[in-house]
Amino acid sequence: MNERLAYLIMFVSVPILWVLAIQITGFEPFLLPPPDMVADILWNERDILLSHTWTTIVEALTGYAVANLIAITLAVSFLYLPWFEALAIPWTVIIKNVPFVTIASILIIILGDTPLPKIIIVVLITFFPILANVTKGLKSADSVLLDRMQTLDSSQWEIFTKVRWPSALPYYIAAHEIAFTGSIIGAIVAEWLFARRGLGYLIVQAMTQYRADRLWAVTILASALAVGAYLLIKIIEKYLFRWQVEDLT
Amino acid sequence: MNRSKLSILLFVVLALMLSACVAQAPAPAAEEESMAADEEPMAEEAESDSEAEFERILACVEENFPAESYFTNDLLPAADATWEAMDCTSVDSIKVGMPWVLNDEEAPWYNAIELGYFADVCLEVELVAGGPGVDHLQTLAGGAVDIAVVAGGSRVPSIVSSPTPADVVAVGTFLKHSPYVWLGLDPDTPQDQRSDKVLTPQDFIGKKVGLQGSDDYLFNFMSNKHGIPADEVELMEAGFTPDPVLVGAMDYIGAWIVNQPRLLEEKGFMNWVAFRFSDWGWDGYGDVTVVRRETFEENPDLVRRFLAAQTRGLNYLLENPDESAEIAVVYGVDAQLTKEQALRRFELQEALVLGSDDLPVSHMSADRWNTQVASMIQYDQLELDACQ
Repeated sequence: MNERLAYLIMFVSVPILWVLAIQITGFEPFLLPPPDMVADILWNERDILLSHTWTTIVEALTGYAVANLIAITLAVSFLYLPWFEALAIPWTVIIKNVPFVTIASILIIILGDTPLPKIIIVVLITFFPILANVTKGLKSADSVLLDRMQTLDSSQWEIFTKVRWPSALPYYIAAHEIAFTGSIIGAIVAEWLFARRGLGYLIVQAMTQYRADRLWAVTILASALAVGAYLLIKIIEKYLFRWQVEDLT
Repeated sequence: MNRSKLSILLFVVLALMLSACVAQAPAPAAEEESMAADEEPMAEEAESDSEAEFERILACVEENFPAESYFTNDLLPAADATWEAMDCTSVDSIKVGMPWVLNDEEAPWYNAIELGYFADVCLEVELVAGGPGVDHLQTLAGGAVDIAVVAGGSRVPSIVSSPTPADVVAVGTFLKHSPYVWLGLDPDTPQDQRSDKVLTPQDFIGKKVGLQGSDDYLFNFMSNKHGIPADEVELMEAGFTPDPVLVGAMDYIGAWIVNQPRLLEEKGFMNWVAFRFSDWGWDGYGDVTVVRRETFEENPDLVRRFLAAQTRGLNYLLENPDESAEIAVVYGVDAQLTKEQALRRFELQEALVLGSDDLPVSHMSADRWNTQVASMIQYDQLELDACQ
C-alpha cells in the first residue's frame, strides 16, 4: 500500500475510532472527551499550546543533538580503541537504565531550574539506540572492501569516510526511527518531572485541574510531533538511500 | 559529491541547524521572567483592588457554584452519637482509595479496621493505596473504588466544575486546614533546637523557593495579597524531599507540615521553620472523603456507616495517639515507619484535624469551600465561566 495513503487512512480513522470507543465503552468525558471538544481546545488555545510545544521541541532537539554527538563519538572510539569499548559498555548500560525519578532531585540541585535537566533526560533516553546501532554499523563494513582499501594504502580517514561510515549509515538511520521519536517523549517526561514550560508541564496542569479536554489536546500534539519526527527520518532515509531504489529500478 | 560526503555534510548541517534553533530560542531565564510578568498581572495591583476582586468572585461563586452543590455534612455522625455495633445479616465489601501510599497518614482508617469499627457497621473495607500518579478522585469517578479520600480538597470543586466533569460529593474531611507550607531552616536558631520564628510573606523577599510543577499560583496569591514584588522571589522547580534546602540550593520548598519537617528532624535539623498558607488566607480541606453522587443518593446508608466508623477511628487517634501509632506502624506497609515518627506526625497534624471552627471533627463549612473556590478562580486554578 502507498505509504501516503496509509497515513491518510490513519488521520481519518483516528476521530472515527475515537467516537466509536466512546460509544462502545461509554467512557465519560472526564476519561475520554469527545474529539470535537478536544478540537475546540486545540483551536481556541492554539497560542499557548504552540508556545509550550516550541519549548518541548527545543529541548527534544537539543537533547537529541547532544545524544548524537556523544553516541557517535563513543561508537568511533569503540572502533579504534576496543579496550575502551569493553570498559565503557557496562557504564552505558547502567546510565541508560537509571530511573529518571531517582536522579530528578539531584539534577535539580546541581543544575537548577534550567533546561539542562530536561536535556539530560532526553540524552539518557536517546543516546543508547544510536550508540548500539552505529557501533554495529561501523563494524559491519565489508571486509573485502577494507582489505582492498588497505592494499591501496588508503589513510584511516579515507577508510572511515568511504567504507566504514557508509556501511554504518543504514544502521544510523534505523536508530533515528526509534530514538528521534523517543526524544519527544523524553522531553515531555522530563517536563512532567520538573518544568514550568512545555507539553509535559501542560499535562501536569491539565491533570491537576481535571481538564481531560486539555490533556487530550496535549496528547494529540505530542503524537503529531512524534509522527512528524518519524516522517522526517523516513524522508531523510529515502533521500540518502535513493541509489538503492535507482539500482532496483 | 559522493554519498559518504553527502551524508557527513547532512549531519553537520543538521547539527548546525539544531544549534541555531537553540541560539534563537528565547533564553530560558528571560523567557520565564517574561512569562512570570504575563501570568502575574494582578501582582502589581493594589491590595484593595485584589480584595475587591476577590469579593466580587466570591459573591459570584456563592450564586453560581455554591458549595452545597458538591459537599454535605448530612451523613456524618453527630458529635454526641453513641456507638453501637449492628447486627449484620450481610456485609458490604467496599474499596476505599487512600490519599497517598500506605504510611501513617491513613491512621484513622487503620484504626477502624484494626479495632473492628468497620466490621461493627457491616463493612469489609479494602484500602487501596494512592501515591505518585494515582488519582483516586478519577478512579472513584470511573468506578474502580467506591469511596476516595482525596489529599487536596480543592480537587473536588475542580472536577465537579470542569468542562469534563465527574459528579462527586465530599462527605467528610480529615484535615480542616490545609497542611501546605513553605519549609526552610532558621539560620538564627541552632540546628539542634526548635525554632519559634514566625515567618511572614516579607521573609521570602530575595529568597529561592522551590515549588512542585503547578504550585506557582500560591506565590501569585502571596505576591498579590501581601504585596510581595514578583521579581524579588526566585521560584524554582522542586521535588518532594527537603534535600535542596539542606544543601543550600533553595531557601524554602513547598511541603506538607505533617511530612517533610519530620524528615528534617530525622536528619538532625530541628530548626525548621514553616510559612503556613492557612494562616495567611489560603486555606482548604485535606484528606477529604468523597463518594459518587449516585452512591450518595442511592445508598446513603452505606456512606453513613462508613463515615461513622471512619470518625470513630479518627476520634480514637485523637484520644489514643500512642496505640494508634503502634497500629499505623503495622498497617503503613509502604513506609518504614517507627512509632516515634508516627507520633510526631500526629502531634503536627492535631491542630489541623481539630480546626479552628466550632464544628465537630470531620465537618466542613460552605464558607470555607466557597472561599477556596473564589481564591482558585482569582488565581487561575479553576475556570467558572460566570465568574471569570
